[in-house]
Amino acid sequence: MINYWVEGLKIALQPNNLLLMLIGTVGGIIVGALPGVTSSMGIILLLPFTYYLDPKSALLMLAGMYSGSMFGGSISAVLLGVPGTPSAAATLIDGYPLGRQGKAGKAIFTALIASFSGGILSGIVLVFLAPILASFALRFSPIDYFALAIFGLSIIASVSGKHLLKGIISGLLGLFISTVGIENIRGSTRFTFGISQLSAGFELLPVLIGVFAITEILMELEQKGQETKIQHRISEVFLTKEEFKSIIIPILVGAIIGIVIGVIPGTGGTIATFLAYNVLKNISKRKEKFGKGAVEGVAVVECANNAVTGGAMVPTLALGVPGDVVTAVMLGAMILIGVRPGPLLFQATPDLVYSFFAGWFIIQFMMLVVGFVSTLTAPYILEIPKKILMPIVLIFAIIGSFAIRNSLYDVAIALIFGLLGYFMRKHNFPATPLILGIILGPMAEQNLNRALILSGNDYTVMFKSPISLTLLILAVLSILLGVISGKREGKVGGVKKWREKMK
Amino acid sequence: MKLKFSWDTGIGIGIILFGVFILLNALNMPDMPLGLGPGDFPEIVSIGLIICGFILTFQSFFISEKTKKIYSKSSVKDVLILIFISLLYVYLVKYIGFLYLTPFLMLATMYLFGYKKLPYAIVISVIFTLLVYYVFYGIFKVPLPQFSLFLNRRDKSPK
Repeated sequence: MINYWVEGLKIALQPNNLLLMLIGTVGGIIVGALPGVTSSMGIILLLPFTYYLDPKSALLMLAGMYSGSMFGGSISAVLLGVPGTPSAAATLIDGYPLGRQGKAGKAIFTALIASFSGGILSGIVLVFLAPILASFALRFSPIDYFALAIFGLSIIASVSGKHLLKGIISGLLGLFISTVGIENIRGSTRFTFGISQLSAGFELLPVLIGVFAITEILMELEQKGQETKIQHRISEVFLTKEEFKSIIIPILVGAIIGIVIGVIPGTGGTIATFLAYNVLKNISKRKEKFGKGAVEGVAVVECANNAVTGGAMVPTLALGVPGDVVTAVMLGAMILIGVRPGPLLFQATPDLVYSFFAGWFIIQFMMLVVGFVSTLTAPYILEIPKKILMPIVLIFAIIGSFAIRNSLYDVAIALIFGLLGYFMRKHNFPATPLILGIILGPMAEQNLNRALILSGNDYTVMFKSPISLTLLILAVLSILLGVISGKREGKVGGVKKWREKMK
Repeated sequence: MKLKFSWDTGIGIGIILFGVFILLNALNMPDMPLGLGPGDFPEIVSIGLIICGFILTFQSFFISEKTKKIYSKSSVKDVLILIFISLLYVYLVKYIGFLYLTPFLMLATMYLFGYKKLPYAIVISVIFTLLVYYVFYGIFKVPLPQFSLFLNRRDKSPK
C-alpha cells in the first residue's frame, strides 16, 4: 500500500503532470465562473487536449477541471447573482447579499476556504473507501454487475427532478442508442439501416459534445448571448478571526453531508448544498442572519459542494457507476482516455489510481492558490462576452468530436445530437439519463446475457444472489428517493424567484 | 370533457411509433437457445418506450402545460441557421480545409450571436483559428482537413 502511494506521488509530482493539473484547475475555475459553461461542458471541452496524453496525466488534468469548476461556480454566484454551475445555486442565498454589503471578496474567499476543506476531507474518504469498495466488488458475478448497472440507471430518477417520466424516456433512448452497431452476442449488426458508419455504433464523445456543449450554445443563441452585468466589486478579501472561527462548524457540517450524499449514487451537488444549508440553519444559534449575508451560509454550501466531488468519485472509480451528473460525464471522459473505472482498475493499474489520489490532494492546494488569485481577477474573466465565447466553444466542440477518430462524420453526429438535445431541453427531457443509458446499456446487456448462459436461462438468479438482490433493493430505494426529492425540487429550486425578491 | 393537444401529445405519439419501429425490427432478429438473443434487449427497451409514450400522451390530455410559448420564430430560425451552417462547414471543410474555412464559421456564429464589430470579429476569428490550428495540427498532430479542392480527394480528405 505504501509503495503504491509513493509511486502515485512520484507520478503526480512530475513537472509535466503538475503543469497539467494547474492548467486543469485554472481552466476549471474559469469554466465554473462563466455562466452558461457548466462543469460537464468544461470536462468535455478539455477532452480533445487529453487524447494525446498518457491516461494518468489526462486523468489528473480532468480532476483539476472537475474540482476547480466546483469552486468557480461561486464566483459568478457572488458577483453576478447567477450561479455559474447548478450546484452553486445555494451559494447565492448568502453570497449575493454579502456582495451587496460590499463583502464580495470575503464571500468568495470563504467559498474558497470551504471548497478547499470540502475537497481535502472528501479526498480522505475517497482514498479509504474506494479501495475497500473495489475489493468487495471483485466478488461480483455477472448477475451482480447487471444489478449494478440497474442501480446506476436508477439514478435517472433523481437527475430528472420533477420530470421523471421524461427522464425515463431519455434513459430508454440512451439504452437504445447503445444497442446500435455490432452487438456482442453474435457479432451481427443491429439498427444500422445500411449506413456503414453506424456499424461501429455511436461514439460516446460526439454524443456528449452534442447534448452538453452544442445544446448549450443553441440555448445561449436563443438569448442572443444576453450578458449578465457584474453587480459587485471585490473589496475586502480576508476574514477576521471571529469570521474564521464561525465557519469551522459550517465546514464540518457541509463536509459530512456532502461526502455522504456524494457517495450515494444518484444524488449530487444541488441536493447536498440545499440539504446542508437547511441543516446548518436549523442548528445555528443565529438563524436570523441566514439569507441576509452570513459567511456561514456560504461556507456550508461551498464545502458541501466540493465534498460531493470526492464522495461521488467513490462509486465512479470503484464500481464504474457515476455518483451524479458531473461524474456521469467524468465516467464517460475516463472511458475515452482509456481508463475503465471499476473494481479491476484498482488491481490492474494501481499506479494510475494512486497517482489520481495523490493528485487529488495536490489539486486542492493548487485550487487554494489559483482560487485566491482568481478572486482578484474574477471581474475580468466574467467580462468575456458570450458573443465571442460561444463561437469559440463551437470550434472546440467541432475539433473535439473530429479528433477522437479523425472523422467528420462524428462532427455531424455531434451537431445532430446538439439539435436533439436542444429539442429535449425545450420540452424538459433531461439529457443526463440519455448519457447514463449509453454508458450503462452495454454493461447491463452483456452481463445479463452472461448470467443467463451460466444459469441456464434462469431469470430468478438476480434475486438469488444476495449482492444482486441488495443492489436491486437499493435501486428501488434510489428511485423512491429521487421521486421524493423531485417533488421537493419546486420548493428549493426557485432561485429565480428568490433573486427577484432580493431586488 | 374537451381533450387538449399539446407538444407532449405529439412527442408521446412519436415515441410510441418509434418504440413500435424498434420492436418490429428487434422481433425479426434471431433467438438464442441460451442467454439473450440480439433482439431481446432492444425489445425490452422498445416496450418501455411504448409504455412511457402512452403515459406521456395520456397525461398530456389532462395536464395543461404552461401557456408560455416554447419556441419563438426568430430563435428557432437562428438555431436552425447555426446548425445548417455548421453542417455545411462539415461538408465543405474537406475541400476548403480547416485553416481557410473555420474563420468564416466563427464570423457567421459571432454575427448570429449579435456581435456586430466586423473588424474585431475578423481579427478574433483569424487569430483564434491560427492558434487552434497550431495547437492541434502542429503540436497534437491531429490530421485536420486540408485544402484539397483541386487535388485528388481520395488522397487528401479524411473520411
